[in-house]
Parts: sequence; C-alpha cells; structure tokens
Amino acid sequence: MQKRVHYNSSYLPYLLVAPQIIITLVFFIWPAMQALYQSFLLEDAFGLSSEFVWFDNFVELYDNPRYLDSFVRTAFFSFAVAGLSMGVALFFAALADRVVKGAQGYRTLLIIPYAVAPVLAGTLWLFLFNPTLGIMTYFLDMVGINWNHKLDSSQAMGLVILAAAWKQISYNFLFFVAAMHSIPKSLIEAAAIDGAGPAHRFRTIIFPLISPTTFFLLVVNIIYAFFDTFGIIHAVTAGGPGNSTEILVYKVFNDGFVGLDLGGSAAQSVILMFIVIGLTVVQFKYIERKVEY
Amino acid sequence: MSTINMQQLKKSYEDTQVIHGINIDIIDGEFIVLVGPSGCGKSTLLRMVAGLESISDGEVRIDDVVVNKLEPKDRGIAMVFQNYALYPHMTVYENMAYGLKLMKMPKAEIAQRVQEVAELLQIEQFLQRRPSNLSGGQRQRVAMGRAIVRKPKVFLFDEPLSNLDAKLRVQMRMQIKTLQRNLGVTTLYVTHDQVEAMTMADRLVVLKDGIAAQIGTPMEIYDDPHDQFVAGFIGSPAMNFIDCTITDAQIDIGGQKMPRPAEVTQRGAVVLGIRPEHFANEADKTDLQGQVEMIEKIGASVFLYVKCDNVAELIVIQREGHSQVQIGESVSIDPNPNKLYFFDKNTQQRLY
Repeated sequence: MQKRVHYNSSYLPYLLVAPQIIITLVFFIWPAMQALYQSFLLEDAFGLSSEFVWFDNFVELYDNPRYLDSFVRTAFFSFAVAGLSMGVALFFAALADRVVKGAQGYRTLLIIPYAVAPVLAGTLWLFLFNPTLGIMTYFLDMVGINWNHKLDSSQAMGLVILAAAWKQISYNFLFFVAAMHSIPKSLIEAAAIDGAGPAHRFRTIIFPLISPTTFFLLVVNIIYAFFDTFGIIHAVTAGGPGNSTEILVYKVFNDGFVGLDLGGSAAQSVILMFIVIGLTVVQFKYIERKVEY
Repeated sequence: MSTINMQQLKKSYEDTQVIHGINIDIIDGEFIVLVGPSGCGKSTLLRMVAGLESISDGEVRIDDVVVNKLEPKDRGIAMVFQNYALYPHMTVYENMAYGLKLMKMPKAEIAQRVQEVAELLQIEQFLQRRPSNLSGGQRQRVAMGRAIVRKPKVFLFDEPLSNLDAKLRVQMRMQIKTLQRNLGVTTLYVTHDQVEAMTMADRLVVLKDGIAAQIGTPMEIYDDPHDQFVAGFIGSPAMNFIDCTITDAQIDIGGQKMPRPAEVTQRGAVVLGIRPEHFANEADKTDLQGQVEMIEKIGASVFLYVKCDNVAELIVIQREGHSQVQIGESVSIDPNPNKLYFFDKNTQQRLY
C-alpha cells in the first residue's frame, strides 16, 4: 500500500492546490515583494517621484538611535508579554488539569478573551485604567498609587503588556491543557507512588514533558507580541507617551502612514519579515521533536 | 514482613457501586493474583490498595496499619503499570533513582542500590539509555527494577505483561514469579489471563462484577469451583456446560441417556459441566454419541468440537495428539464419571 495518493491525470493535483497557492501569492508573496522593492526606493510624500537608493534606507535605520531603541523596547515587550501570558496560562492549566467536574465549562469561559478583537481588548483595558475615570485607577489611588499611563512611560508599558498578555492567555492555556492531558495518567501516579508531591511532580515530570509545547508557544507568543499587538497599542497609548510604547510594528505604521517615509517604513517591515521568517524556521525545526511516552 | 487485609472493601462512583464488599487476608510473602473478565473491578481493587483510588467503605490494612487515608507514598508499596509508566525524559538510571532521591537517600547509596537491582534484572547495560530506546521486554524489566529498588513492603502489578508478545510473556511470567519468591515480598497481581493467573499465583481471587466469586489456590479453584462462572473462567479451553435433565434413573442429555452418579439426589433441569480434558481418550462404551463438526490440532492434543442432537452448544473434547478422527465422523462421548460438575440452572451455584 502506498500512503501517498497518486493521480492519473497531471493537472488535477495542481488544480487542487491552486486556491491555496493563489491566496499565498496574492496576499503574502506579492505584498512582501512590493515591500522589498519599496524598501530600496526613496519616495516623496505624495508618491509623485521615486528614486532607487539601494540599501540607503537600511543604513539609515542602522544609524538611527530611535530605531535601535525601538528594537530593544520590542524585545523587552515581547518577552514580557510571552512570559506573563505563558506563566499565567501555565498556572491556570495546572489547576484546570486537576478539575474533573465542569471542566468543559471553565475551559470555555477561559477561551473567550481570545475571541476579543485586539482593539477591543485594548479599549477594555484603557477604560479600566483611564487616568480620570478608570475603576482600577480608583482602586490604585486608594492604596496610594498615582496611575497615569498618559504621563508615566513605565506605567504605559505595563498597561500594554498587561492588555496584550491578557488576550493571549486563553490561547496558551488551551495548548498547555492539551499538552498536560496527553501525559499518561499512570506517569503521574507512578511519581506519586515514588513519593513526589504535586509541586515536585509538576517540576520534575509534567513541566519537562510539556517542554515542546512550551517552546512552540514561546515562538508563537513572540510573533504575536511582535506583530499582532498593533491594535492594542494603537488603542491604548498610540505609542506614547513620548515613544515609550512604540514597538517596531507600530513604528512601521507611524513612519510610513503618519510620517509618510514610505521607503524607511518598507525597510523596517522587511526587517520584521526576516525576523518572523527566522522565528518560523526555528519553530519548524524544533516542533518535530516530540516526546514519546 | 508484610500482610494485607481487606475488610468489607467497597467502592462507588456516584450512584454506581463497582466493588461490593471484598474480604481478603494476605499473609506475608504470598503471591496473590486478582483475575476476572474486563470490568470486574480487579484494577480498581488494586488501585484502592495503592491509594490511587479512594475507598468508599471498609478498610485496607498493610501490616495491621489502616492505610485508607494514607497517601500512596506512605503505604510502602511499589507498583508496575501496564504501560510501564517510565519517565520518558529520564534515563533508566534516573527512572530507578527517582523514588530514592525523594527518600533523601545519599547519592552513593542510591548508586549502589540501583546497580544491585540492575544486575539482578540484567539491565546494567541500559542504565544510561532513555526508555524510548528500549524494547518492550527491557522496559518491562526497568519498570520492575524501579519497583524493586525501593524495597517496598508490597508489590502491586497491574496487568504488567499484557503489552508483550506471547513468547516474552511466558518468559517474564517465570521471571517475575522467581524474583518474587527470592525477594519474598507480598504481591498483588492483576491479570485477565487465566493461564497467567494459574501459573503464577499462590492463591487466586476470581472476581466477578465487584465480588470475589472464589478465593483459593489455583488447583482448589480448578478442582472445586463454587459456581458456573468460576468453573467457566478457569481452565482452557473452558469447561463445557450442557443443559440436561436428571431423572430417577439417569441423566438425559437432549434425548440421549447417561448413568446418574449415586450422590446426585437432585431431580429436574440442571447444567452439567465437564472439562474437555475429562473425557476418555477412545470411547466406545456409552450411548452418548455426537458428530465431529470441527477439529483443532495443537500438537500435543486435539480438540474435537462435537455436535450432539438437541444440545445447543458444541461439546469440546480433548484427545491425544495423533488421534485420527475426521470431521463428520460420529464419536462416542465418555466423560469421567468422577469429574462431573452440576450447577443450578438459575443461581448458577454448584450443586455437586
């Protein structure tokens, strides 16, 4: 028995994969090529004239301390988001793993945040922490903390991290729960008989066995923090105060569509593209490493 | 020196009761096999002793200490699981040392103990390997090693051989039995395989629907089953059960007659049980006749599947291996009159 399907006609297989290829070409490859091309151009703000400048846009970015700042900021932001959302999700999953009754219900409730659009999530948190109206601001004031993320840059960064992490917890939670479920129960029981308490079991058995999932989620979360948090940042801080929450993807938008430096913006998006390609390669390379039970 | 006592042990899941009050007293060093069809509660019972399932009612004592509320680790037990439950991310050595480390044993002593047990089980050469690089039989031995190395008071085995191929299973059966005898550790062993149960057990517990149908040595149970279920479950091929009617003069089997043993005083419809091995080899003296419908040759012996008039089930008869009987041939059926079992048609209890 051959596992692969073999077609007698030569055009049918191409026809079957055509929709996917067309979608990829039109929505991914073409814009990517366009961005690549544009990153070599110096264009005036109205698009009336353009000049081919080779790598000038990239060199300019390399020399621009504001861009490098944004790079460091993005790294901090994405690791904070990934760490926070994965940490909380792991904690929830470890608890949910022990629940038998009504587990489905809890899980469904925990998944809801994932269905909330980024801008809405951002707005939600913005209302909670609004310096004049926010309920959280009110509570914080009661314990003597003066909250104003419109003025305080570290508070602003904290808020976008919180909002971005919150949205991603559900996704991470689902994967962690699934990973924990796939660990045979007898392994946990064997460890219990061997004398390991719940915390020790988690540390020495469960956590090492879900490490492929953890790694996968780390990459996914970093990609998420790099790219999908645009809506949250736009709604909550719009990159401010100052540039304190301007991560790379927000800077692409700011420079390109607000500052109208299309070439420089394209160059930035090309760099981001290579980062995501790199992350994806790493992920594909290691995702095959699965644990055998 | 360890004993296990179970007293009126019960287990319910919400509304359904699965274990209905089991009493077993196990003496030190005994090898007890819990055997029964799937769903009879044998694994549940074992897991209750292990502390992996809560006890709804009754009590379990290990060395005269009630362990109902104790954590598994405090019961002095070690368990071998059906799927071995080896930690896949640890080497064989780490697997075996895991429990010892938790006992806060000094490193040198751990190394020594693991080495000793590894030699005993001939797994020294695998100590640095991961379980995924071992064959089924090797994993099985590592799982045993992990249990032995802790020097427990009680071994618990949950169908440890059912994932192995037939030949290896027979081999491991002997090894486990020998090992247990040498170590002298009290053992509870769960299996659904009656051959495994017969060959390994000092005493057998035949479970049915959460009730201990019979407890005894393998030969006691083979020779003297208390009811039709036990009689049918122990012995391979299974005992023949034939509906018959006892009259004053004889036993009527679908119109054919057989002499009535003197001690049988019951009259009316009963179930007659005869083991396949309890027929005369070349019979020619009875009136009981049947036609051979199928023949199974297994070398040392031959099993004839014989159809008798007005008897629903085929009767299985064991003959000597070179028997020349052909399919379709008519044969006489001559059961050993001392090896007849009679069961009540309704209660299935043994009558004689």
